[in-house]
Amino acid sequence: MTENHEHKQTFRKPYQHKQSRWWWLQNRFFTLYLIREATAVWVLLYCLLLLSGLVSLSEGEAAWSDWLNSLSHPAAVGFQMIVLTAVVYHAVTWFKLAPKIMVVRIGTWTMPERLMLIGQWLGLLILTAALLGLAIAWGA
Amino acid sequence: MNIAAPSADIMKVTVQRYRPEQDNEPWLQHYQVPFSADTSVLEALQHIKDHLDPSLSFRWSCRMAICGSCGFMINGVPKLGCKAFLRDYSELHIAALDNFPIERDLISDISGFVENLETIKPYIIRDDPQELDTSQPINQAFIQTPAELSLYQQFSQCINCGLCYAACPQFGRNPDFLGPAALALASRYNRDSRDQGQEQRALFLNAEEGVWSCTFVGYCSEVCPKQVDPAAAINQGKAASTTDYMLNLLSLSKSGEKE
Amino acid sequence: MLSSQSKPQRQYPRSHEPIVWSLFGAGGMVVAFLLPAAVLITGFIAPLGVAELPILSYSLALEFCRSWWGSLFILVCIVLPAFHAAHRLYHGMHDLHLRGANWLMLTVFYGGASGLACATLFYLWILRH
Ligand code: SF4
Ligand code: FES
Repeated sequence: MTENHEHKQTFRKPYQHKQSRWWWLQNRFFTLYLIREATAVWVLLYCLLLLSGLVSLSEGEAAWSDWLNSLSHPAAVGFQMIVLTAVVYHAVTWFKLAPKIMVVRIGTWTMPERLMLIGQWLGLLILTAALLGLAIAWGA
Repeated sequence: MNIAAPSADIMKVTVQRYRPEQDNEPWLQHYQVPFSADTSVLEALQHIKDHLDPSLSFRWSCRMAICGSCGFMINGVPKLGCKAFLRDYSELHIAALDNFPIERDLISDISGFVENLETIKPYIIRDDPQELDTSQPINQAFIQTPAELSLYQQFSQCINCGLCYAACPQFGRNPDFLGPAALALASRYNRDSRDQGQEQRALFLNAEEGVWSCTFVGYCSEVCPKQVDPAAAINQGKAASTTDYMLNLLSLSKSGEKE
Repeated sequence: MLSSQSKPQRQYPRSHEPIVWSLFGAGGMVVAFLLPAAVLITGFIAPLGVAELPILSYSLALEFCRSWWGSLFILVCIVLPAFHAAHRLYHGMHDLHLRGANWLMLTVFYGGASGLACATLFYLWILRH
C-alpha cells in the first residue's frame, strides 16, 4: 500500500478521543452498571464476616458467643443491611442478564426472557423460604 | 402538538465543531433552527448547512435508518440523526460519536471499526473452498430451513452504524477490543448452518480482544437501532469460548492451537 | 485499499478468562440465590431475635460445620462469592482507570480470593480435629 505510491501530503489531524476516568458518571446506565459492579465490595466483606464466624467457632464456645453477640452491634446490623441491599440489587441485575447468556431452546421454541425472569425469582423465593425454614426448624 | 400545520418553532441547537486546519480540540457552536413535528436531527443539520453555515461537515445518505452513516451523540446518547426527531427534545446538543477519533466536525474516523469487522471473517467459510469457487458455475444449493435461519437472523440485522461502539466503555478504554458489532457479526456467521468457519473465528473470539474484554455493561444493546442485541451475542460467545477452553484443556478441540 | 497481506498479522493469544469467568458465574449464582437467606439469618433473625435459632448454638453449629453437607454449604457460601467478587473488582479497577501491572492485579484479586478459599478449607479442617 505504501511503497509503490508516490507520497501525497495529507492535512488529516484526527482528534483522538480519550476516555475520562469519570465516564461512569456520564449517564444513568453507566452509573447503575458501576453500582452493580460495586456490589462485589459488600459481597467480599460479607465473605470475610462469614469466615470470621468460622474462625471463632474453631476457637471454642466463648469466642463463638462473642461473635454471635457482635452481630447485634448496631454497626454490624447496619453493615448487613447494606449487604442485603447489595445482594438483592445483584440478584435483580443477574436475573435480568442470565436469560441473555443461557438461551433455552427446545426445538424451534425459545423460552421467552420474561418466563426465565419469573422462574428465577420464584426459585429465589422458594429457596430463601426453604433455607430460613430449615435454619429455624433445625434442632427445635 | 399540531402535526398537520407547519409550526414556526425554533430550537436552540448546539453542535460540536472540529476543523483540523484551525482547531486543536473540539468546540461548541450554537444555532437557532426552525422545526416542525416531523423535523429529524439530520434535517436540522441540513438546515444549518444549507442556510446558516455551509462549513459544517457530517455524514448521511439514506435518511431512513438503513445506511448507518448518520450516527451522532444526541444529548449524550448515541443515535441515528435520521431516526431522532426535534419534537422529542427541548434543546439539542449534537456531537461526534464517542470513542472514535474525530476527523472533522461530526465525522468520526471509523476505520478501526471497519478493520475489526474484517478481522472476524464476516463471510461464509467452507472447508472445501471449491464449493465457493466463483469462477465455476454454481452447481449446488445450500439449503437452509426457517428454523436454521432464526438462529442468527437477529444478529444479521446490523447496519454498521457504530452506535454500539460509541456506547461501549470497554471499547473506549481499549480500542483493540473487537467490539459489539464485530463480535455479533462473528456470532451471526458462526450460527449459520451453511458456515464451517467456527474454528477460524475461535482464534479471535477466544482472545482478550475478543469476547473477553466485555464486562456486560449492556449499553450497546440499549442504543442499537436495529435490536441486534450485541451484548447477548458476546456473552453467549463467552459461554462458547469457555466450552472451547475446557475441551482444549482435555485436548478434544484443536481451535486456537494453530500458530 | 486494505490488503490484509501488507499489514503485519495481529496476534490473538487465547485468553485464560474462562477459568475465572466460570468461578465468577458460579459465584454470581450463589450470591443471587443463597446469600439473601444467609444475610437474613446472620443480619436480622439472629441479632434482632426475630425467631429462635437453635442451630446457632455452639454444639449444633459445630455439628453443622462438621457434617460433610454442612461444610460443603459453608464452603460454597464463602469461596464462590469471594471469587465472584474478586473477578468484578479486578475488572472494576480497570474500569476506574486504577490498574497497576497486570501480574500485581491478578495476585491481589484472584490471589486474595484463593487465600480466602484456603483459609476456609483450613478452618473447616480444624473444626474436625
Ligand atoms: S450492532 Fe446495532 S448499534 Fe452496533 S453497529 Fe450494528 S446496528 Fe449499529
Ligand atoms: S442517513 Fe442513513 S441511517 Fe441515517
